[in-house]
Amino acid sequence: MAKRAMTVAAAGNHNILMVGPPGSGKTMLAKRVPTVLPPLTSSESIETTRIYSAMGRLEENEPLLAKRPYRSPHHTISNAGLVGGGSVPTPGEISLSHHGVLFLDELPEFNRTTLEVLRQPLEDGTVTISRALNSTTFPADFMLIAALNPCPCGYRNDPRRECNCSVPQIERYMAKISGPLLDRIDIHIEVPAVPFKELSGSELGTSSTDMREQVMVARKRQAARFASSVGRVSNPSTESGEAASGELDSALRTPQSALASARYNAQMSTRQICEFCKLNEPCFNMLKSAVNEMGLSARAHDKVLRTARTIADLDDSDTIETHHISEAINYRMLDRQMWT
Amino acid sequence: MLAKLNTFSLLGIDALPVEVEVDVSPRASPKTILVGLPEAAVKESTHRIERAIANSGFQRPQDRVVINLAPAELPKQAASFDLPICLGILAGSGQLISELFDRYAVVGELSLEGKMRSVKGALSMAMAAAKQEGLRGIVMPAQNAAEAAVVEDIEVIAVSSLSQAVGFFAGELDIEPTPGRVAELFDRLSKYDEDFADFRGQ
Repeated sequence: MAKRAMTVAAAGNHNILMVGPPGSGKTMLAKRVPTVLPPLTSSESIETTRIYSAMGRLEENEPLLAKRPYRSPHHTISNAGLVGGGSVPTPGEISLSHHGVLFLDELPEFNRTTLEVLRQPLEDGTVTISRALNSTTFPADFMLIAALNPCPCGYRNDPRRECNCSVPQIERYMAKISGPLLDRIDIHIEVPAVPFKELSGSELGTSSTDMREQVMVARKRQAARFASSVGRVSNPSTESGEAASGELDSALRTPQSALASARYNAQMSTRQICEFCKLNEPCFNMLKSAVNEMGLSARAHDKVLRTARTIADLDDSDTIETHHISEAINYRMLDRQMWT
Repeated sequence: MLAKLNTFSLLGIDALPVEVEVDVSPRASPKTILVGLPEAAVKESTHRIERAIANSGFQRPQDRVVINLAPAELPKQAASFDLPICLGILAGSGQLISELFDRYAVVGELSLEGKMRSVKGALSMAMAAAKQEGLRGIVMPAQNAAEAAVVEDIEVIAVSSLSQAVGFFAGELDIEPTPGRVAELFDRLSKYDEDFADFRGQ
C-alpha cells in the first residue's frame, strides 16, 4: 500500500506526506524513492553537480552526481540552512536536493517559519535569496517527502501500544503544519506498523527496478502530454497565457521558472487540470459525493484530480476511470481525519 | 612589467569572469598592494603566494607589486585567486614568459610548499570559461579536473603544483587536457545501494 503510493508519487512527481507510528518504515521508504524515479539525465546531473561543486561537497572519487540526491536534514535546521542564505548567499538543503528528494522527518518538530519558507520553492522550483547588495537565484526543484507521527507520543491508532496524548496535545501537534504547506502536498498516506507475520516472511517485495518501469510508463505519457500542450501555447503569450488562467500562483511565477510549463502532473495548473483531467459521468458523480459527503475540501479537489491523472497514466490509460478516482480520493483521507 | 590573467570568481553557484592584473615595478619601495574588494581569504593569499614562490624555487620580487582584481566592485571571496596572482607575479617579474595567458584561464589555491589545493565551483568555472570568447582552456587543480572535464567545449588542464603550472604556461611542459568521462562515470556511479525489495509488508 505504502509502496504503491510511493510509485504514484514518483510517477507524477507529487509531494507526499506519511503518517505513522515510529518504526513503521517511513524513513526507509523515503530513502528508496530516488531508486524509482527516472534515471538522471546528463543535463539534470550537471545542474545538481554544479551546486555540490560550488559548495565543495563533491568527493574526489565521485566527481559527478549520477544518482538523484536524497537529503534528510535534521529538524533543528535553520531557515538559511534549509533554503540557503548568508551574507554571501550559499545554497541550502533544498538546492542540494535539486532533481532529487528532500525528506523532512518529524515534520511538526521543524520550526514553523522554516517550513513556511519552503512554500515559494515548492511552487517555483527555484529559490531567490535577496540581500541588500544582490539577489541570487538557486535551482530547487525537488520532490518533498514528509513524515510525522500521528500524535506527540507516536502511537495513536496503533493496536500494539496505548496512546496517552490528550486531544488538545494532538491538536497542537497537528496545527504546527500550516494549511498552505499541506496544500502543496498531493498525497497523504498512513504507514501502519508492520505485523510480525509479514516481517518474518521470506519472500521479497516488488523491486525498485519493477517500480521504476511503471514510473517510466507514466512519465512517458506525461512528457507527450505536456510537450503537445506547450507546442500549442508556445506563442509569445506563454507566460501571460498561464497568468490568464486566473490562478494567482502562476501569475507570480518568474519567467525563468522551471515550472513555466508543467512537466509532471503535480505541476498542472488549474487550467491544465480542466483540460487533461476530464471526468466521465460515473467519475464525476463519485468525486461529487466525495466532496459533498466525506467533506473533502476545495483544496483537496484539485489534488485528487492531479493524482487521479497520474494513477491513470500508471495504468497507461487515456481516460480517468472510477477506480483511479477512488484511489486518488483515498490519498486524501487523512486530510479529513487530521486536519478538518 | 604588467601581466594579465583570466580567472573566475564564484557568486552563489555562478562563476563570473575576473581579470587579474599584476604590475611589478622595480625601483619603487618594496610593498605588495592588493586591490579589487578582496575578502579575508583573498587578502591572505599574498602570504601564501610569497612562501609558495620561494618554496617552489622561484625568486620573490623585492619590488612594488600591485595586484588588481577587476571588476573592482565585485567582492572576491575564495582562495582560488592564489594561482593566477602567483603566475602574474612571476610573469610581471620576468621569471615566466608566456603567450598562453589570453587563451587559458587559471584557478587554484596554493599551499605554502607550492602544491595545489582544490577549489569550490570548478564545474561552474569551466562552464563560464566555455562561454567566454577567446578562451581555449582552463588550468585548475588536479583534484577538480574530473568534475570540470564534464564540460565539453573547453580544455581542462590539471596541474598539481605551481611548478607544473609555470611549466605549462612557459611551454616547457605539455599537459594533455583531462578527458570527460561522463558515460563512464554514469555507469559507475548510478547504482543505488537501497532497493524497495528490502521491504516487507508495506
